Amino acid sequence: MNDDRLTEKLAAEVLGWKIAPGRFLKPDRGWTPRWHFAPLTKIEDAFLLLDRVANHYTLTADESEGFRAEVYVGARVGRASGEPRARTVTFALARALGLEVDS
Amino acid sequence: MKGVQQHRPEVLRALDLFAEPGQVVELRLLKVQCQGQRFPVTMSGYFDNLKLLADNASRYGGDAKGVYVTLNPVNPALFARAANRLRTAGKTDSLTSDADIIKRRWLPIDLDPVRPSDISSTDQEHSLAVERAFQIREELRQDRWPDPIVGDSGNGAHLLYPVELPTSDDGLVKRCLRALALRFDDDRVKIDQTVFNPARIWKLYGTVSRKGDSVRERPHRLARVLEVP
Repeated sequence: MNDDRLTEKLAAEVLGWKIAPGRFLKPDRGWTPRWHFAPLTKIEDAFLLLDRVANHYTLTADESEGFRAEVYVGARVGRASGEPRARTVTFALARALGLEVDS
Repeated sequence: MKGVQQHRPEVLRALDLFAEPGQVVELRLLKVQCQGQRFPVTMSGYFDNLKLLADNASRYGGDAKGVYVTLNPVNPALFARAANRLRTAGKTDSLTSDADIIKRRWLPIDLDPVRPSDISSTDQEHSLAVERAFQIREELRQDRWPDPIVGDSGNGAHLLYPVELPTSDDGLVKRCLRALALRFDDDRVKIDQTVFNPARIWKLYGTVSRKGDSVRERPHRLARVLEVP
């Protein structure tokens, strides 16, 4: 799944947004330009997803192993590591949701 | 009297709403009073770098009657006319035409308080137009329209509704504006029914609207975004 498709999938499944050309449509008749929501590059958008759906998550960083994210959604766990951090968090979350993502 | 100044962060905020990264936008400055020029000129340039667009709007906007941008996406080939810079547009220089627009992304509604031409609005006239804009938004919400961007044009108010329409819309936007005018116009505030064409330029938020002289009763004001959905 490429980055655009993954972003759309997460917007739809986690946030309940609908996909329209150039925009995401929010449930309350609001909307946001598509380029404003970028959980793979903007850490605040990655946390928006985490806060919405994760039961529990652990983010760790150390010199030997770098940045790692572990996300629990229900009985599932998703893990990812590396930089940039927004991408790592979002990949871990996607895996916890059962989505296939490129490493 | 000392006038209101442009606000670069507001310019960048507005551009971020209208233009996706890399999109080509025409910046057009009307009636710029340049040194050494007897008559005011139009300046135009095409930008894919929105920070450079904001820089140019700031540098020259203070000498212009108004600073505008194309709302809808422009054919990227036009970038080569004046790439990330402003040029003086002479009579033979082309500006963005309807044929240069790729698609319609906005239904623009421009609310003007009724007043003589070429002067700024009074505070009361200005407030009336802004109140009318919010009233229209509320009534259209009841009709299940999406929420618009609400803007202050400096003299009146704007509503920008997101749409996804071809450039040739068979007159849909024009008819829509006419219907809205029939419903919401009165003798104090009117919807501009001429803004239907796809290459329409729109006041750049964060810049100053300078109609006539700025006097106490009718001051120049900053155009700005009031609400984002």
